[in-house]
Amino acid sequence: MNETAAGSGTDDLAPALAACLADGGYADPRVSGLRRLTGGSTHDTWAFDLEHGAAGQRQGAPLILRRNLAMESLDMPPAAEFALLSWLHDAGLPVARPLLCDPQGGALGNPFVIAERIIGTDLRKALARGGAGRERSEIGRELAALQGAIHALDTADCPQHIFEAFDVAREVHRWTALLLAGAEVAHPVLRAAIAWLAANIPEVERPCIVHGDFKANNILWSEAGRPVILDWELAHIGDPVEDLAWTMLWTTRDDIVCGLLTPEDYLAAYEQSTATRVDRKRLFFWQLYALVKLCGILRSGSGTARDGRDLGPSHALLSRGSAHLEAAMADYLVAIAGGIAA
Amino acid sequence: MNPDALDLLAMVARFLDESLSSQVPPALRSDVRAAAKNLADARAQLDAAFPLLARECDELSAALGGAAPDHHAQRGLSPSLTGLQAEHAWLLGEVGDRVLALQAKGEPASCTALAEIFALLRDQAGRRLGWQSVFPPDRLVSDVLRGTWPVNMDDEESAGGKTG
Repeated sequence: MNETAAGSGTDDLAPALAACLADGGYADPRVSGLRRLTGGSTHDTWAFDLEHGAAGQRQGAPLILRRNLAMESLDMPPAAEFALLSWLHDAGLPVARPLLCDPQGGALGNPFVIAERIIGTDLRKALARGGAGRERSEIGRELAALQGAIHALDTADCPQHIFEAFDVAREVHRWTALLLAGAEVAHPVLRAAIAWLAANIPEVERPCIVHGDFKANNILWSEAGRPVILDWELAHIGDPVEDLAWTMLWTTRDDIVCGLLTPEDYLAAYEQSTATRVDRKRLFFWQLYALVKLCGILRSGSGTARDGRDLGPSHALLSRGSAHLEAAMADYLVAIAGGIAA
Repeated sequence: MNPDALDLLAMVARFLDESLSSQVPPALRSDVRAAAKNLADARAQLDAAFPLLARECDELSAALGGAAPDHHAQRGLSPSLTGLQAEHAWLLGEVGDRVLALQAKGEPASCTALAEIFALLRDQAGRRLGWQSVFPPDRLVSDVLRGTWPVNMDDEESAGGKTG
């Protein structure tokens, strides 16, 4: 972590932030209400209010600052995130409009993106508090349609430098290699799942942009009762069914799947809104892949740790979830050995 | 009072969660709470680890037709948790090699053997669900999603969804 130019304290950060905004074209910027929303080993996120403009024409705006603290994390670099968010915003997707980006991070200690701040709360919290002001299944159908709208974006229009070319085998290798590279011999279930995935790479007719982490706590529920999609760091060109499988990993009563719609109803809503049919064999492949990928993310602290002993307390807590993932993977492997017929 | 190791872990976890977490800067609070949960999970694991690992080692050894590492004989003489962990890790490595060999064969008899081994590994992982705080301890995501699985991976009809 580099904290040379601006540390994690608000005293250091506020003037540095104002200087950045001035360099970015905001006249006489004043930063107020700066507060850290989240922090960790890979990112930190700050909320603040900006007032700027000439005397008599002052304007205010609620903004958000997101810094990348670990260059070795698995997430998309800030410059790519900025280009992607700008493109998505221009394409009419409900995302926070990005305003400034510094891919080097000289002024604030780390690479960063500044974007507009939508007032609201994440959908998971809203659901945990009793609801988001609308009928749950209606929200579920809206989110299925929104996920379909992301998948329908024309990749030819997308700033192509953001993404690597589509290659399922490479994606599978990227995440599985992470798990096999550790000092310990991987659990037999993991080894078997990885071998099966590598031997059963699916054909994908129409690769598309996938969010990569489309779940309730990455959806901001605005005060107006509309969803805003956050956290695009895992976005890539992929299989739309892969994106659905990842969303289906999260199944508590405060998640999209099981919280808003049953798994089958979520698929039906997606199929209806996109006028497509979800291939259940591919879905099965991607569900198993999602378990393996999540295992890699949890065990590596999102790519920040080479070894379990390097994990901070929060990442260590998350890494303990791999027992659940191994048990679930074993269920998939039992089904495969039995020819499915679950 | 003379607290034993498990009591000590519980006391430190309680101190972190109830006394310290509210006193640290907001940026550190979630890490302090996570540290407390980690200690609680570690306490649950330590409390159950010895009999559970011994059972798992016996099960894995049986799945391998009685194979056991050299340090298996040590278990009866001077039982230790680290010794058991080493035996367990060795057996898991052997089972992994066996599984990959069976997968490569792809014969019907291999599939039956694989199904038995995977069912055993699922049960073993299932016994550890109480040692983590990330996912619900009482249900697996695979149970929830089973209804979306294809009937048969070789059947073209399954591409459209589970029908029966």
